[in-house]
Amino acid sequence: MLQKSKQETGRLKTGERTVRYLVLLAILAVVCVMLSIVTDTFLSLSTITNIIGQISVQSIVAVGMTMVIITGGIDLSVGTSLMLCGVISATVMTATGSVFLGMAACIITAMVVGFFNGFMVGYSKIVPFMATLAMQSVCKGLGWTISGANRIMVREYKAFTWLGQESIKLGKHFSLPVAFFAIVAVYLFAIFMMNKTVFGTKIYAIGGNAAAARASGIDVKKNLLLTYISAGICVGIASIISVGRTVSSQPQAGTGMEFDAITAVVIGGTALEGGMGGLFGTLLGAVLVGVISFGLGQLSISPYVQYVVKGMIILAAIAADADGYIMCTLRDKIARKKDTSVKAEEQISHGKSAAEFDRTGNHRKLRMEGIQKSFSGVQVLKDVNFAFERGKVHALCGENGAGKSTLMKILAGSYGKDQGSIYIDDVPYEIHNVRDAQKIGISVIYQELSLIPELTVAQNIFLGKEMLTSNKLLTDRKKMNALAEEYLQKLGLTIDVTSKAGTLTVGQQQMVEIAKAYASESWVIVMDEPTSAITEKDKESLFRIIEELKQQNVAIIYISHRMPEIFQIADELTVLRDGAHVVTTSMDGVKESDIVKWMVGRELSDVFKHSERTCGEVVLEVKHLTKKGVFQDISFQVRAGEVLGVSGLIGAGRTEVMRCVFGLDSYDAGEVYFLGKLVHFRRPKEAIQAGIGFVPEDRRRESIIPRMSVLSNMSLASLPWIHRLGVIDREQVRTIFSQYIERFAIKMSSSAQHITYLSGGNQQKAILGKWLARNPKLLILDEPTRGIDVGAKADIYQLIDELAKDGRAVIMISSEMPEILGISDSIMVLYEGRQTGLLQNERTVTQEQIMTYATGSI
Amino acid sequence: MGNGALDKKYILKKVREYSMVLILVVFLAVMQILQPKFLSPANICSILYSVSGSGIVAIGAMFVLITGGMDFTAGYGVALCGVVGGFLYSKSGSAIVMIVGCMITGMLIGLTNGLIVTKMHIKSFIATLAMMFTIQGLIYIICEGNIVFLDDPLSKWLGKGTIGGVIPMQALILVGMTALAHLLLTRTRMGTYTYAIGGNEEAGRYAGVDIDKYKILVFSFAGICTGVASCMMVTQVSMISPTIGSTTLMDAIAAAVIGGTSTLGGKGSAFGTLIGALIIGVISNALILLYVPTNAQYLVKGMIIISALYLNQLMNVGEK
Repeated sequence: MLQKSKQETGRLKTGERTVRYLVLLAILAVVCVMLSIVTDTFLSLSTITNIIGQISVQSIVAVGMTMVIITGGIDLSVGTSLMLCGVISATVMTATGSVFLGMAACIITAMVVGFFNGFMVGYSKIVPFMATLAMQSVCKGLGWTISGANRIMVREYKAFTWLGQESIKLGKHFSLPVAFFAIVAVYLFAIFMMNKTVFGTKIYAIGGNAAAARASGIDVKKNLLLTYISAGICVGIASIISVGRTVSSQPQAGTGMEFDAITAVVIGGTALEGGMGGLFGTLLGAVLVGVISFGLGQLSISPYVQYVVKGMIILAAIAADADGYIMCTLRDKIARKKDTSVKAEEQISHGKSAAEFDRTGNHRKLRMEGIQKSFSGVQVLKDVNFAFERGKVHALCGENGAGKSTLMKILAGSYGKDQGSIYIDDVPYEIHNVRDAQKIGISVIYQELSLIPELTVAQNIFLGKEMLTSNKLLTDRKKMNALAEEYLQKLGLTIDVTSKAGTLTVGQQQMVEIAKAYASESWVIVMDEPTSAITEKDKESLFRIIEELKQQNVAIIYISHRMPEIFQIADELTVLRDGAHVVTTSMDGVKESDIVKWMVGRELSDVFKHSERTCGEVVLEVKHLTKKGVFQDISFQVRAGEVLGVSGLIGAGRTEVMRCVFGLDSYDAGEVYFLGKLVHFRRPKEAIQAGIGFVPEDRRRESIIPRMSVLSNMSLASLPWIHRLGVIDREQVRTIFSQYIERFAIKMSSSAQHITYLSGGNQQKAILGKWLARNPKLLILDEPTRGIDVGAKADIYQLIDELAKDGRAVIMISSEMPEILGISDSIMVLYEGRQTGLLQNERTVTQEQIMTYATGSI
Repeated sequence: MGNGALDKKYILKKVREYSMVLILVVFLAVMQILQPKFLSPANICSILYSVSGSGIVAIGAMFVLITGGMDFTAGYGVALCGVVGGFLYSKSGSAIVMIVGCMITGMLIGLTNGLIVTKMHIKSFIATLAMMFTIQGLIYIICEGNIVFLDDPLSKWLGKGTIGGVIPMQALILVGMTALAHLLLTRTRMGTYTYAIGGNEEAGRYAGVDIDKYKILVFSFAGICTGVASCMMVTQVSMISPTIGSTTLMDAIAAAVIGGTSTLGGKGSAFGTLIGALIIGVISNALILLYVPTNAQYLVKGMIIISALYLNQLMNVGEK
């Protein structure tokens, strides 16, 4: 549901930041007008000077905080660090009498604190919250020890008081405080850095998606360290002003500063998850808080009420966010108004609600009829019919993006349907949500397993329907364990019901999920590609369990595109293609080639392009590569102009081998030769420099920075080459990448659009463009067509063919057999970390052949 | 793989599980050698007195952390409960009214947090931050800077009383609350769903769990913990000032995290949090006994927390 609403609101968000700034400015204006009406002194120069003085320290600290929060971190040490810097600076000045040394000491102290924070967060991977919390205590202790918790006067050092208190005359009657210019300078510099430089882009990239940033050659640890040091510099500058304002270093300086800074950042629209937001918002946030506290002060309202008001402002600001409570409620209301007519009609036509469903009755059949569903105007299901019955295994086939998962999510109540009806034994029922589906007795076992790692097997099986002891307060562990044991035994499983789910293997977890579905007495169990992540042995027990469930009269829907499995266990088959129903048939007499044809819609040779090309020199040669416990003794080579397909089950070690080659992970033994030279890439940046590109498997998690523009995403891997003195050359970026955008016909509203709002196929094309701009000798593609529609798939196949024809070497990892067979020149097959086959592919290799290698049967 | 290897693995696993207990024991042993007074009954009592309040706040904070949330109201919440209690006490003169007032105030704070988080869909980090400011203001609005002195026998018994002249009442309450929290986490629906929300909220929803209801419950429980802790802290010193609990928030969260609670949610135990609170209490106490100047204590405490975090990291390296 959540995903859906995000997808749908996507279009609204391109100018989100601008809208937020306008809203903040409007609020600010209203507050100012109100204050100037209530008090007559508000719009005076002294007021402005006062407000600037009040916000100067925290607004500069907030600059650093914004940067840290954009990386997805937090810095709780800024307050005490500010105090420590003041103390050290004052101490140094009283000892040496030098203002310059005092200021230097201030900034350096702040940088050292930032360094330790950054080191702990970046290099030691300690949660930022805890690392900086501990640092908070350290700074406080140091500061108070050095100063004896006394204030140190610095009256004679004019530079400090000048910064903190003086004003600069700009006309006869007009002057602005020096602090104002300090704020402006810091903000201008920081805004420039965040928006125009390589460093700023890296900060956004790390916060947006650290894994993808790393795979694009960004040194995440180093840049995190630099970010925290930069935040330290801000604290240092703020500390100088703070000392100047009070003409002394105060032991209580900076108390609660971390929360004030976070407040300004959050009101300014920077999200705590990182990757989003900006400094202008932070400035507005700081000014807003400053103006309101000043105004309340003017109205002689107690400072304590101001705290309450501050709390309310934060809540109001967040609730007013584009994603927040107010906007969502409004949007819902508007949507509901539009929908009422349709909804009412639906209610009449389909009478029964799930609550009326009688579980005890012996229902035979379920039929989905005329199902339609669109996401953001794209129709993913077009008038689909799907029917199945008890005691049979019904295979649901189709390529990625054919609509299988969407159809099943509608059945499970996770998505609502736009049109169509669901009949059980010819009686129509409405499934509005997950609970409705449960009441009816439908369970879905998703690919991403949904067990709670810290709960026991028994607790997981009974999640949501715990049994209670007679006192109705405690859960009855004994009874649940015994019953869970019984269910597992019925399915022929031996798993300790008291062990935590997180300690089980993936295969065992899947069995537990099935037991969970079975325990809920579901009569429909949907399995979404259940064999994609389990071993051969687990697969056998899975099939045995399916057989058992069939005997117990359960209807099983089996989603898979592995032909041998389908032929082994399915009784009936439905094929979907491009969101439409193609065929439903009994498995009798069906041939494999029929199914492929139904799924793809044309002969394979139409989709896969394989032009004549000549293989050149060896680009990559890997010898005896080993990573303990993951893969052993992998050797292969790939030539210029050659496509090497890598096949095997998920978890066979395919991705892991390539990650090691690319420098994302380290290996224990073996050699890698690139263009004839022995190499050992320790980080992706080295591999990229040498001329390797890598498109990871999980686009959302490892490949794209969702809330970043298409253009920035594409430029990430090229950052070291497209800047002048650290400033990104926008013009160059535009010329380089617009050619790829044109060549691949990437569909988007503008290159400034966030990449997350593009379709899967267009995202993938953008990512390919990102690597091609580096002109790589070798391109590693991990499941390049996962989750993209058939049309885009064909484009990508053609592109791979072109790349090879250009004389590049391509390695393609894929779970889709036709893809491997269709476009690769040679095929490597892995099984449980071992290399079981290396075949030359002259269109003679068959799926069965690869399967025997991939399942370790040889 | 031989039996020996398996044993070694098993032992390593156990060591990891009880790593913080080990650290505590080692720390106690070292301290005992440095300062023989350390493990004297009187000193043990004083450690228990010092951890009881923040320990209970830590237990509440742990619940919220396990759901993957954050609760910034824990610190000032203690003071707000206190001043409300103090106000009621000064009006009624009854300690029972004060105690009930404390608890209800705590629960209301938690309830409000929970409602903001679930009904307005605001992340708990920000929601409770905003609430923290609000509470900070309310404290002074209610108490107007006054200090209330408690001289009721019940409050004396609660604050300074002992069982059999040996075990302080306060320690007993801490143990009681830990046991209650353990029971809640392992034996009730609420506990099961607390882990479920932090471990995989979506899966919980699919299983038909009313996630919002249980989030509100968890925040309310954390609030009640704040209320209980407030009662204990004010009765310990027999007075209610608006500054009580000023360092409680950070101590409590540090205790929960050192005790193995994950800030990312899904993980944590009552026993671990108790150990975490004890470690923090023992450190503070040791610093006093070793005559570390008050100001430097913050420094040493921060460094010890950092070491504990590193050690924890080290212990978990081989886990995968």
